[in-house]
Amino acid sequence: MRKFLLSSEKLIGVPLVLFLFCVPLFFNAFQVNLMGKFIIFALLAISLDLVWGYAGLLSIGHAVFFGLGGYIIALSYTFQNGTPSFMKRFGIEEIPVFMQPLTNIPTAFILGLIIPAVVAALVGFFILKSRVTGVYFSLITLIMAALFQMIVINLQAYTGGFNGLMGLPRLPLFGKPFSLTTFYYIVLFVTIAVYFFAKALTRSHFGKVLMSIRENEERTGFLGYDVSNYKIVIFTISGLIAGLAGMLYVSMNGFVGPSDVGIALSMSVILWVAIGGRGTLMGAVVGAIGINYLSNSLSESFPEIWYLLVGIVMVLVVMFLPDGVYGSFKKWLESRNASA
Amino acid sequence: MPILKTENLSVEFNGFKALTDLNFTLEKDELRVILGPNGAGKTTFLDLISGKTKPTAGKIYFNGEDITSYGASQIAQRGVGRKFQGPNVFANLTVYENIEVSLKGYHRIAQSLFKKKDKAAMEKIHHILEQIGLSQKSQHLAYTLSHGEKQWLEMGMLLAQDPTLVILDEPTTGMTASETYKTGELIQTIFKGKSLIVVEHDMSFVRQIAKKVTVLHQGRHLAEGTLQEIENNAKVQEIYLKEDVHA
Repeated sequence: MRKFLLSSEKLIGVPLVLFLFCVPLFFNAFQVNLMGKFIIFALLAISLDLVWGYAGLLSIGHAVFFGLGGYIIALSYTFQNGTPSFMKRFGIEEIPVFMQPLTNIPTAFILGLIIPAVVAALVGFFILKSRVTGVYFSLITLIMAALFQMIVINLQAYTGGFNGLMGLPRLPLFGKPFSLTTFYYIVLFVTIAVYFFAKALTRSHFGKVLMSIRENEERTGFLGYDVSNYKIVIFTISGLIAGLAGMLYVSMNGFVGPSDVGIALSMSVILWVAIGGRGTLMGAVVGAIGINYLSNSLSESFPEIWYLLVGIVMVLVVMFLPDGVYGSFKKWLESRNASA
Repeated sequence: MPILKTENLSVEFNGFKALTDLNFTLEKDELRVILGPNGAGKTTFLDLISGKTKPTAGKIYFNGEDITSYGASQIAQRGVGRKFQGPNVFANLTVYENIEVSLKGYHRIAQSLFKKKDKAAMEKIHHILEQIGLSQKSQHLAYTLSHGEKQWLEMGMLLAQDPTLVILDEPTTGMTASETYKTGELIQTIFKGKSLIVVEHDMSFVRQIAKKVTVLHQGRHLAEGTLQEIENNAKVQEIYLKEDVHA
């Protein structure tokens, strides 16, 4: 009998983290920046997996929370040199009163966590308390994403509109922006920390209630749990994490635009989580980093047909590995360990 | 004071009277079997007292408290536990987790987030697993269990929930004769000291457990008494012969 039964999480997670740790040592700045963004996408995928993979709520508007966080910190950066030019073009000479708190970057950072969480809580409250479930929940979040993107584009005087906000620094929390390498490691550490937080959450009694809701909502209610409250809480936590991801993203990317807040990104996150394997956390990470890495290298090698190739991979995974790449691997390993 | 009391309980679905003016009383520690042909309103009655459906008229009192307007989770928190018709377990959770999540005392979100499971709670889970005979399979996912095992797991979830009133809707559907008998024994031993309402068709099972029986017919109260009285009741014989179903 084998004594050392490795969990799939360690088998995949440890080498992955080691690799990510070494990235700044062996790759150039462009690639480090790219990998940093992929890690942030993994963070966003974790936030979606918490609501979709664990509580069974498919949010098609998760980029809204990501975008809220992103825009809040991006506006704060642009306010550092006085009233930004896109505002002046509309005759706004002073930073509007309701945006004044954003002139301070640490304050903006905290708001970038709180506001997405509050929006998630409110949206969750109104949708979930009125017992909207299943596909209707998804549809409402989808509309929310479309709406938010339109608002960002149309309120050009306050958001920079279609052009987005450019030339953003790397999170100058203490006056000076971080160097690329330092910021890369910050992103990595934050993501790992959130991963373990999310893992602890899903392992708690709370997490088990969420899974029960996913499995059989009515039955969970008959056990005495107020199901909608549980869903609202996890949606709020998820919104906060997505907001954090958004803030890290614009700081790494140096740019935020309407495409970072809408349906397209929301859909992509769903794909990452589905392909990695939902309800496993590590699956979300593997999916986000894997798909983005694959898309990127394929677009370099096959500039004409790379989208097609990525599409084929996705279709194959959905057809033959319904539990996702990591999810299927986990199941296979567990059944193997059980028989060993 | 009776543990459960309904007064003129009625419910209508689009004009169809599923239940009409039902007055029902259950004493503490009583085991009551509810019989009736299909469409008699048995499951509807259970839906009403467990908060799944709201009545159109009448009142429901649980331990003297008016629970008529309460939702399912509020009623469950007050100590009503229900087993549904057919297995209704959390398929992708392990047997252990199914019991764990049913455990009383973690309903509030703060409790579920921060309250640690002490040794007593762990021992309770293991004790329940032993009682329902699933200790060996505690780490198996619930969907891998056999039909009978799933039914027992549900009993275990009810035990963990530790309700004062237990409602069982056809607990032996789909079971073999020996599983049915074992279930009868299980119910009598593990739910000792609790009030029980059991809806069941299987007459051998009813004979095994029943003390007092209530018969419903077309949403109305038809008869009530010991099993012997019921079996000799002319009205009951008539509906069962006429409809030519069950028993």
